[in-house]
Amino acid sequence: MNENAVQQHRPTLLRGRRCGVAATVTAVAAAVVAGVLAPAATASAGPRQDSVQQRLDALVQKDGVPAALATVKGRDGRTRTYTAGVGDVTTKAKVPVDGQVRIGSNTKSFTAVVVLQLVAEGKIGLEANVDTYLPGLVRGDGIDGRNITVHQLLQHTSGLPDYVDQQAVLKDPQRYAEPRELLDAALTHKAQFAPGTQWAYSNTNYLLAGMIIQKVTGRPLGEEITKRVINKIGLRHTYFPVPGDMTIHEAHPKGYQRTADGSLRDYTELDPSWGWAAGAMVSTNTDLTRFYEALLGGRLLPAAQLAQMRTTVPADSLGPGHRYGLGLISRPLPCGGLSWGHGGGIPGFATFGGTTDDGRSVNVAVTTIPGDEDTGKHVDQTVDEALCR
Amino acid sequence: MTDNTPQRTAHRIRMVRYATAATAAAGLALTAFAPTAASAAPRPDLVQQRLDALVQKDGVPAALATVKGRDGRSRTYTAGVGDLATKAKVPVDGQVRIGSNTKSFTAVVVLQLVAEGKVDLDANVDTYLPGLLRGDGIDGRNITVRQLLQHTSGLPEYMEAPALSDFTTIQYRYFEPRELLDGALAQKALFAPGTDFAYSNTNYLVAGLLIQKVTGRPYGEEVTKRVIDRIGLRHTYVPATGETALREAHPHSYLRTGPDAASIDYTDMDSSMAWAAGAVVSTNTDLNTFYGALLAGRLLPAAQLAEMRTTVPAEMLGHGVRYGLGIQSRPLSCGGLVWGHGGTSVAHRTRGGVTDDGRAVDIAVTTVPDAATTQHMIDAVDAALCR
Repeated sequence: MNENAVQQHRPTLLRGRRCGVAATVTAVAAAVVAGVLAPAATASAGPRQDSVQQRLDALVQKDGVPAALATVKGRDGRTRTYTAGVGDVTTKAKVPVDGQVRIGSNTKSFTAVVVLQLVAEGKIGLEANVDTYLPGLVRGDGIDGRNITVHQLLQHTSGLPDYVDQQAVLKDPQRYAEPRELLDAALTHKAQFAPGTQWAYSNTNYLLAGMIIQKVTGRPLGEEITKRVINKIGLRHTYFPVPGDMTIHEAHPKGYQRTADGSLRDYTELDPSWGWAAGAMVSTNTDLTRFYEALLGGRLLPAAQLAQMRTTVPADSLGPGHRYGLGLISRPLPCGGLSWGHGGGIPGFATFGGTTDDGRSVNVAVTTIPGDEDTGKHVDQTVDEALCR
Repeated sequence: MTDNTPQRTAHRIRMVRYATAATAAAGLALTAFAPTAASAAPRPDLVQQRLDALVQKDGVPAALATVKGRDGRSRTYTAGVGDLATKAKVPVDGQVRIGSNTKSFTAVVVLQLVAEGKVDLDANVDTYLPGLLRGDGIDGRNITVRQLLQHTSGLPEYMEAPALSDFTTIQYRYFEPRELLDGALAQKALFAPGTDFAYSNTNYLVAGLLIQKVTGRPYGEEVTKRVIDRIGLRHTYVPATGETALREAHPHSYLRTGPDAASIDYTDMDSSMAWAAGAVVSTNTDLNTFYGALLAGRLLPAAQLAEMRTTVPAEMLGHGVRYGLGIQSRPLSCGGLVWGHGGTSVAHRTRGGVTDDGRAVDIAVTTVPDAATTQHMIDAVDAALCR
């Protein structure tokens, strides 16, 4: 009962992996999708029989995503990029190779890294409560910042209700929101459970993590992420949008969501301020694979903090066998071992992928949040194929 | 009146201090501070003389001015040095942090929204920001938008919060607007809304939040679109989040924490602490253009401009000073009023305004001077407008 209620309230935007959008957005989808979106066989029907390319082509042709892009670093250590579909459904423009996409909840991994760097520097206590840094800010029905630890925020075990109002975002995607406005929205709901007693994905956890970063460093979140992560490992196509920036800076495919009447709405230009520390960033598949490789390779965090990040709890609602660490998700591979990453969905874009401990890496982006279970499954299979072949 | 004695004393002390400091350096100081050939015309310009006095007698590092006279011509002036360490020249019409002149920009945007029917001046703050203003004697349901803009809300001053008590520790600190508001709401109301006048930056902090809520866009974007770009203020901007440097040529500016304390170069700073109440960067010339355009009706319809110019007594800001909605009027010695605002950042002060017949002046100095020096600035504004 309770669990069901929680499930229903759980937003599907800015989710880790399972990115299905609400029924209203996709009800009309499947049949229409195939007709409208299936590209002419041209772009992707080359002589190449690469298994990843085939999967991306199928995502476009059978599942009806406007475009699919991937970067794969295989067992041979070589990196390959792939595209399928069209970058613009009106002009049928080509998909830019390794084009920029909104990475949604992958942003949580960046936020968690900054928090854990501050833990390593002794500026944040992972087991300290939220009130230590944001006194009196987190209060509500069943909610008390004095009883929630930083650790619980990063692991989604705080019980904090989610602030994301999915319908409002889809309706008015260019609205700017202050972080505190988002927190206000979260605090009008009651706690999902007592801190530490369960697991439930909530963007509010990362909203607060972002606010703690700002409070402790005295600098804007975007600046800290840029300095401590993006510039540190040289992610040249990754950025945290400045307040008010609605564009995607470099070459990119357009992102779409299907509306209730079945038509595609262009969500490329969107104010990601509502995603903020939980989902505002822009990157590429290649930069994301490099980020997760650097992270797992110990180039962003000392061993102790990386170990904490990789200490996971069951998170089966994200998918069978999924576990959640601190801003990091592990997922079992059919060929054995785990894939580590996060994934993300924000109107217009969904990204899936991960990195193995032996250095294989993949990131797949599609230019709509898949509206049905099957498409999501097919993207997962693409990730599996890329990592297991 | 009662202020006069201490002010004069302070002024004398300051002059003595400078005289002492200058004994060894007299020749050097003269060389450094003497106006260059450009301004040392045979018949010294009145405004130039005043700026030179602000530097030489009052000890501000630099003074800059732009004056648009009765002839409609604009003239720019500088005095002092642009950098105390290098003694570099002051860039002509260099950029400065204009502090509370920002409030005029904020008020204009709110009043444009009033003209568009999106904001009601006499609606309460809760209409737009429900539940935001609550505290000891504070209730947003009882405070109108007009009271915010006119400083008659009784909202306590966020700059008085402990987190903002020592500027030396927060030069590069980023503050979210709501964090600043928390600092105000921890204090009790100054008075019941509408019963008195008290200048409080909190009013404009809330006005900024209101703009964001009503437009759904960031404050800086609205000011840029609705004011700066509209009248082409090419050297004026709202600093971006986290931005700490000044974008164009500018004099350095300095924080003096006490009469004998060393000057701290406070040119670069995170101005988020001032936000909708004081973060804008501009030049004297752009400010003259802005206030000129505002009074000429190029930014607001007549009805909203009339609201803006409807004033209440604000003697705490100076003898005869009255406060409208984000604008002040001050009587001139030659008759009539000067309309403007003036502003103080951590390390700048600006004074000036425009007359209804199109004269304009703005003077900036590169530190926050004492009351006596500030009076000299106000006197210089008067002299420039009345000559």
